[in-house]
Amino acid sequence: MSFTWEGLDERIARHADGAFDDSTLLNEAGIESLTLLRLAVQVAPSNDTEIDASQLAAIRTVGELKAWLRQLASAPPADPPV
Amino acid sequence: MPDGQQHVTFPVAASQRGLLVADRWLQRPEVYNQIVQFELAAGTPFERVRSAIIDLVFLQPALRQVFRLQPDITTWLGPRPKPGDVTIMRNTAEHPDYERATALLIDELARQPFDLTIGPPYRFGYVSTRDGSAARIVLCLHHVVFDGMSLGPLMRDLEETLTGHRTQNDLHTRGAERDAAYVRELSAQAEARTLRDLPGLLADWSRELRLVPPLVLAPGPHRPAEPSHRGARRPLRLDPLESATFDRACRSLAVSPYTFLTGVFGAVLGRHGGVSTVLVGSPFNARRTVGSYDLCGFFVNTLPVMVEIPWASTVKEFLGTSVRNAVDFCRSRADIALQDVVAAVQPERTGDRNPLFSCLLAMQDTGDDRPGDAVTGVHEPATGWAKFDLWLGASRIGDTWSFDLEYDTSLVSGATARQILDSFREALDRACDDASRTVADLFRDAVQPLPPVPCPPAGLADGARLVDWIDATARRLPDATAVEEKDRRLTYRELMAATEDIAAGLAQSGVSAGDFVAVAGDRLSDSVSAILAVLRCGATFVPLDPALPVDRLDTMVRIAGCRIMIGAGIELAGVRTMTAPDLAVRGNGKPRVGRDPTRGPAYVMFTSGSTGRPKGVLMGEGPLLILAAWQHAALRQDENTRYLQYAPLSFDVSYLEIFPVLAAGGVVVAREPADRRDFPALVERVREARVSHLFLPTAALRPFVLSALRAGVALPELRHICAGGEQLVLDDVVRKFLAEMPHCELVNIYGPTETHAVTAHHLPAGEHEWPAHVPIGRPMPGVVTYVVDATGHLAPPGVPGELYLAGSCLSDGYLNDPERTAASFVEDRFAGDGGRMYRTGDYVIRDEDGVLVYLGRLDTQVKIRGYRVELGEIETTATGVDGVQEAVAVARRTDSDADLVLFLRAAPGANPDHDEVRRKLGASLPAYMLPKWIFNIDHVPVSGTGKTDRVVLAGLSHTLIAEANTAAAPSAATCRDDTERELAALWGEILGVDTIDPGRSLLQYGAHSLNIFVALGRMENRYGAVVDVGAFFRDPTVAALAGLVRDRSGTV
Repeated sequence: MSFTWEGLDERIARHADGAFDDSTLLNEAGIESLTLLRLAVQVAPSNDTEIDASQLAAIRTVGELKAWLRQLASAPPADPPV
Repeated sequence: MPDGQQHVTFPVAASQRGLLVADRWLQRPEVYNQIVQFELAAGTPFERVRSAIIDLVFLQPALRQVFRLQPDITTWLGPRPKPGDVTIMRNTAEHPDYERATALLIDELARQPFDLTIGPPYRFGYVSTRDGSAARIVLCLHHVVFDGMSLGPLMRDLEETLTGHRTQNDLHTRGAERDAAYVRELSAQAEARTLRDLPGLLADWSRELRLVPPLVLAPGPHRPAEPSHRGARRPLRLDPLESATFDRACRSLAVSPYTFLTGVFGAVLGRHGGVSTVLVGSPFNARRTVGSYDLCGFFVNTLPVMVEIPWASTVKEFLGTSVRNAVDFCRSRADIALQDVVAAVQPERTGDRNPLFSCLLAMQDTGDDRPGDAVTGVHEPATGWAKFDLWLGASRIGDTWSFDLEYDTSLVSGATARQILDSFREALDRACDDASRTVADLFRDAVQPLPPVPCPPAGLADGARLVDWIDATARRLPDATAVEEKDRRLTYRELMAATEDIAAGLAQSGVSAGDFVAVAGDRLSDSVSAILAVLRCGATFVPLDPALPVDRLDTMVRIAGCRIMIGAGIELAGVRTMTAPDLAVRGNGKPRVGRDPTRGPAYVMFTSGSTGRPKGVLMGEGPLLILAAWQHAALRQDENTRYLQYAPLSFDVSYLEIFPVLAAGGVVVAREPADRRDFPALVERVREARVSHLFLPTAALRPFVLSALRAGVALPELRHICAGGEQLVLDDVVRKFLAEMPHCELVNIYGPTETHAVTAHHLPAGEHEWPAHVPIGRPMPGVVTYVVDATGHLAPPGVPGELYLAGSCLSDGYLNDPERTAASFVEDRFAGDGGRMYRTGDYVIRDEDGVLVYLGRLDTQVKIRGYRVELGEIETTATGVDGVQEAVAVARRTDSDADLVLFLRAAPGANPDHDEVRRKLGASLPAYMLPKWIFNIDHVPVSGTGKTDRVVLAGLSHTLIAEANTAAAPSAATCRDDTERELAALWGEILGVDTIDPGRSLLQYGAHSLNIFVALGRMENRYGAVVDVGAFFRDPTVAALAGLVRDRSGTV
């Protein structure tokens, strides 16, 4: 799976209804929490990367979503299971 | 693979742990059987399907999960299945029978519970048409290995294995990765839990959750306490246009469809449950690792979303702020397991169901998984089971939204489910249509049944008055008996002559139309003559009870402006009191007082006011004439009627007992010499006077019946027993008595003083299938009954609300009290014709047949830990115990809530066994309805109108409880025997408590679902006694458990 930051808006646009910018509220753009998870799975560096679903409620705008995805993409790999 | 020691075990997820405990506890663990139906491309060979299924089981570790429950809950993964390991139930049908064959297969697969300690947690089925044009895989699997987000991974894997896109090497590599990912996910969840400050997160939340009232849909007296878990579904499909409108409405409010639906569903539940705060259960995704999104598994925490419903707020504020905040609150706690919340809240447990919420909203994720070449569709059909009272599943399939309402068929009828879905549809449409409307206006008035048309009194000219009617009867039957006392009979001729004489006396004393004349206790014949004389003068009679305090009587006559009182025994300043004979001016029996044609007020009856000042209800003659006509028809009153006059004149029932009887030419029979509370004497009076009609206060019915049974008298003339004043709850004694009187019907009559009697429910003679909680019935002619629900709209059937009365039954209001009249008699906004309606303050529900059922008073409803309690139900059960003559339950206010106290009056010579009473109550009533205290009393106090005086008993309970506490304190923690001692030690160890009081609830020591599970398991090992969760929660004390152990093990 290849992923580039340049394509992030396009990826988001695939799930959105209508135009948006960074200040657009996710729900105004028709982006639901499951979409957030799908995008997160796409950008995460490995299968062991953790997504804290309890943080999703705090992500309200497209800009915040992008920031969160960037942070997730750069997350260090988790410790392997013991 | 029964022995987990041979395998690498790992801890289960917290969510799985809760489900495993519940699975063990439920009477019907089959409710956790889930069905997934995969549609296959035509022509897929069965052998390929078989191979794909085996590969699927290998690729999805959850399907190979086996659990160990004791001593600790752990799990391991079974090996890759070989071809013979996976059984596939196969069914083939002709095309027209395809769906039926599928339904049969689903039933076969879902009928039996899984044994999760052996595995596997799935069953596969395959159904196809004989011509090969259609085929599907039906997968039944236990919920503990499956959640809504598992659909996608299963569908993708099946697509790949069916289309053969993987080599065996790929498969092995992928299978190993999946196993690792599964274990990694479980570990990640466990690690995350250790990092969370659970007590801190749960402290405020649990406090708020404790305040939420229980949600009871379709409340009613005969609603089962426990669900059956038998389920049925009703679908609702939006077309593409409606779906687009819904999507647009979500975006415009900047809320997700889930938030929107949570709010709308919450409002619907609030309406149908009659509450303004509801808990909507909802599964929240708890997956943590990226790899878990390829896995089937149970990785959700189902949490209670608290929906507060501000009926007057706009939909925009409600959904956009209130509901969104509530949803986000739970989302930010998605990693908290339900059992953690339950442990913190310690809710009232009712056993076989979720302890926090009874309704659930589930969004099904069909998301990005488009139909493939091999798997062309997937969905979750009904299994025939219901995990909740009500479950709403929502999913978007393509461009359309689709909803399924699943309901427990024993708690929610098909008709009620239809009403709820109608309300949901209506509210969804209206929320989408206009978000500026109020939440209450998401709903509209339901259609109410039309009232029966009143029949005019037969043979009575328009404008004629009550006295004219009785006059006419007297002319028709001059020598018939009108009033019969023990030692005196008054014929109609004599009655009317006496009436004329007293009327003449009143006229001489200056009484004329528009005046108010008090009538106090006297012998019946004089009272009846006096009242008719007052009416003859065009005046209004004001009956007074001499037993009332003088100050109160003084207030009453001042409110009414009475200058004259007919009767004896009361002396009030400014009021001239004369007996009827003293007042009479002898004449020739012909009318001497001018007839006033105005149908003015007939009487003023006083009722208690909340401020302590009595309210005088001014009742006009018009409604009373219609009531009399109803009585003639419905109670078959004619010249053969012999009606016992039991009620005090100051109680409006006395009207029913006297005037319609006289209008029909019947006999009004005096109760005297029997005292009103001397039931043996009363029974004898009914027998010897050959009474045909009897109206008893509800509280007097059982004592009357017991006296009759004890005396062994037959009452062959008694045809109609009416009861009213309180909720009528029938017990076996009353049933038996009436079963032996197949000629006699029982009629439950309802009506506040502010109207006349307005509804009646007939229990026909000879029918024995009578309900315990008797409905108040259907409205009488001319009576409009509105049930106004929590939204302020007219309620659909099955929705509780306040009863408003309109039509021809209304009084004129409170005499000389315009403010209170305006507060209680309001404009009839439903008719919109400028008429009035009366707010009864009574909480009722109307069933599908239009029959009204009384649920209680709105202002003084008895609620224990949020549950509405029907005291009569407790009393009826208690009176079924040998030696109990009467039982009265009262709610006693405590600092934080209320508890129940049961008073027993023993039968002569008996001494009721309180343990037996508790056992019987515990066997048939939910825990919150069990009295905390039981006391014996010598007599049951009653008010002047014959109602049970629960206020006096509540006062008495405080004294008795204080005495009992003082006496019991030194030995409170003493165990009775070795069983109790052992159990106290066992629980003390598990709960980390030094000393357990055998009589104190274990929940108060910190018992919750998980440690209860452990403790009951140990008890089972030690005593061989299986204690089910329902029995535990009915009385969660060591003392009660010791009793169960003794009963069930047979060893102690």
